Amino acid sequence: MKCEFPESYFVDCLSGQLKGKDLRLFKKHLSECGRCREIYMEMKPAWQKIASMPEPRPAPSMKTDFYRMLEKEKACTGSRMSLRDRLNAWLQTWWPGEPVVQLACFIGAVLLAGFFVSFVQTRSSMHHEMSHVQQDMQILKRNVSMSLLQNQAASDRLKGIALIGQIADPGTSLVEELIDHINHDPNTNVRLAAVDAVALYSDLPEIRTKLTDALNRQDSPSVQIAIIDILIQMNETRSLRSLKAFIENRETDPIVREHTNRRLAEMM
Amino acid sequence: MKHISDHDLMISVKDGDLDKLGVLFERYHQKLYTLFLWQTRNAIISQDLVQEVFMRMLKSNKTYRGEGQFTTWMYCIARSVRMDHYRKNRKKMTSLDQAKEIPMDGSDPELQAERQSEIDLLYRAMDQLSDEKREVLVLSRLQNYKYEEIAGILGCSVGTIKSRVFWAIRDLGKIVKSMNGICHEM
Ligand SMILES: [Zn+2]
Repeated sequence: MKCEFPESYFVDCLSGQLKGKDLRLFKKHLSECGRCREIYMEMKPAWQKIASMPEPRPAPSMKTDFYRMLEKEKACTGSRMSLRDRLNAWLQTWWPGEPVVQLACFIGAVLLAGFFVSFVQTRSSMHHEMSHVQQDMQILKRNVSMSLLQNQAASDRLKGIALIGQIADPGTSLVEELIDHINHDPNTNVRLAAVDAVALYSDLPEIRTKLTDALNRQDSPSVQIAIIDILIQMNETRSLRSLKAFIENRETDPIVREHTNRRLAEMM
Repeated sequence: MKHISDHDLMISVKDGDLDKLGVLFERYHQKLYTLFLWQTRNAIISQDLVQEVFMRMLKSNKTYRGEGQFTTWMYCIARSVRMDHYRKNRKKMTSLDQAKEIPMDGSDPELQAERQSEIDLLYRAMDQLSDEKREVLVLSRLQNYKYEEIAGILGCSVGTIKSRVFWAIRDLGKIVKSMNGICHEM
């Protein structure tokens, strides 16, 4: 007796997807072939029983934990709004809706402009002061983020990384610090956030080599994927070459390989 | 409420409406939890992993491009979360002894003793399958995904999935048989 029925026939028959002639032929074969019948008989009780297993219920704390996480995230996102968004939101709160009041505001603005002209003399010194204040702020932010990054708690390190995103010119030391976290931080979320932050400085010449290097050190597929996405965005011959080498490596995770292949194919 | 597709919800999340992630959580946390529980055999770890999946959906929502199914993307994250967990805890993998008790916390105390012992037996049998086979059984038999959907989730062909289901059920049948004496039903 030749058994020409592939595995899918057994599975389709069990799941009731085998119909008509196929079903008749398969059933006939089962009645004639002891070997296939034995296999089928062995499978059937397991097939039936497994579907009747009760679904395990997670503890209610899972829900509360999730919504707590979501609230926290919402609060963070609010503070990470771009300057433009914040300015818009602020303007919306005070800019009057009535045309008459708008006109009054306009006249007020024209008068202010007049005063402003008279201040032109002193303006340059004021400007000087302002830029000092701004510089001080940047230095402060840089110091705060540096110290947050050294913190034990992953949530603080995440805050530190978010703060770096607000610094106009982070300088080499902070970028180095980010790369260091990509390579050595024990927490995957911190590593992911650091990858996102570094993406902002992808035009710095040394970033490409540093990221390629970091990719080969990573053991987390999700961080690997995040780095790969940036390298692909850079669309630079050398990064693409090293990506190809990376996916040819036997040790590379199949999901990461598939993702990279797909992204590379999208580029072509 | 009108049914909003997973895809539309995730696009809203991407656009900053984080509350929509709550809707996705309500839709999928149970499924992810069941899957993780079968993989890790530990209720607490499974809860943490589910949390981690949703956390990563937020953190990496830029990678969601909405090509293909949302579930494919979600399960892809779930797999990488699980792998990260395994890598980190390779030395501390749960042993079979611990595993025996763990899935019980989800079972119904009112179940009759006989049915309960049958379920226990299945748990132990499932536990002896490889991760790959158990995953495909959980998705197809416990969560009722179509083979086409599972193929999308796991990134392989329908034929491969059916073949994997075949070997999974066949192995499971053999294990149950050897644990149970001979089964005779058809
Ligand atoms: Zn046969």
